[in-house]
Amino acid sequence: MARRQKSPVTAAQRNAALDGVPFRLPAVRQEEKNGKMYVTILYERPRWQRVLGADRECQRTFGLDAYGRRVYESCDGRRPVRQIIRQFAEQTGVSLPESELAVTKFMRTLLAKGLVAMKMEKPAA
Amino acid sequence: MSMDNQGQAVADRAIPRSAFRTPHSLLAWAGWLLEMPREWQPLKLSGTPAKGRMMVGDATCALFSIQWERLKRGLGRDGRDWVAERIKQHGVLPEGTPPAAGHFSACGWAHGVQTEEDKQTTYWYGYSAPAELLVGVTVNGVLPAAVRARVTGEVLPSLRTTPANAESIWAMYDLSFTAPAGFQLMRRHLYSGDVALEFARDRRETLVLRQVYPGDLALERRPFERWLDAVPFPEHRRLRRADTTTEPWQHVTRSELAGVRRRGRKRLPWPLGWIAPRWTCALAAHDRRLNRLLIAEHRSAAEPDEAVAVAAVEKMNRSPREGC
Repeated sequence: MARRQKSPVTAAQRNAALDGVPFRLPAVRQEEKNGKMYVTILYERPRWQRVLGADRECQRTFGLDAYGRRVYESCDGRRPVRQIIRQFAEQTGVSLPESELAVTKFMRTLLAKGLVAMKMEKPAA
Repeated sequence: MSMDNQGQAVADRAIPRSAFRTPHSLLAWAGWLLEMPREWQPLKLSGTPAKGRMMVGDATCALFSIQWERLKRGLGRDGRDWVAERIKQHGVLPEGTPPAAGHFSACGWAHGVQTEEDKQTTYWYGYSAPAELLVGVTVNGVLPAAVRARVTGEVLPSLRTTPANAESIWAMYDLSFTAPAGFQLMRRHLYSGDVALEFARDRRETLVLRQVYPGDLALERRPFERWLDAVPFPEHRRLRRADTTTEPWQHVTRSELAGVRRRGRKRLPWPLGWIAPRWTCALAAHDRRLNRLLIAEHRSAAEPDEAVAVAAVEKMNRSPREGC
């Protein structure tokens, strides 16, 4: 059976993603321990877990190191991803392509874990 | 030459004034080097230092590729025949005044060449006798005219080579290494945030150069000694702890470079330990100015001179002013 190929990311999609404005979702609590920041959020369990009798919601805590915290705190609902990438490159002294790689990958993790959400404009057809 | 805030290495003193108006970075590999905008990066690297190819692009597409081939014996003549033949293979005649002509023994170029894919491909070929290196550059013909002009007007004129019998420069991702004369690249470890190169001379002497960044994050995860233990390339010999001395190290003139120095011997596992042990002198230093962890390890059959490792560390990310 032929494997389904992943569609390539077009320049328009990339630009739309970089122009997106991330913002932090409300956290249950934030605390600092040993130089790390711990963010606790409410997490809605998947349906199959609920069918098996689990509660609808539970709390999950994520630890962020100094660099992760810097990106997380940059998600203030005003700065687009493009600006966060540039700031991260300036602050850490890494090149722009490397900064883009690191920030977008981390941003994807934050989105997947439910720590941030992104405001995006629908790309023009 | 104006440079950005990241210390960039530059090959020699005879560098023409850069045509760049935006921040740029150095790209150097296998005897050639050029300058390009900071937002461009190598996308693909294949082959060996003797013969290979590198594709360079930005976040959206490939912009140009560089092919190189090092000759064991020179072309015999000045290389003009080779350049003319290469251009003839594309079915066109060479055009006048190729960029970077002053840095090569022979070079030629043709632009606006029609290929199967597009109509505006640019081919540039050069031969450098001191470097014993053939270099070819192909500029992607599907790019917008402004980008093509940027490659041919800014990047190509900065192309030059380093002599074959001199120290070699290796640079990408805003960082650079300098290997002493005679050392050949054997292995590479190119990851974002952790770049390492292993060089060898006469099979019995090796030099491993490594940069890990951001340095404070690297040192938060493990101390200097453990970074020296965590070698990026697998090796058969293990450090013999009984003979090892580790002590703090500080660069004599550059106060921002401080770390540890380790001297000792590496041996094959028992019972082969008596076979060809190697002396090792390793330095790991935190460059607080660039916030990078710089590591150099020199291994040889005889007790190595510490100066090799020290010179390797101090020549990492050398700025043009310091190099002159």
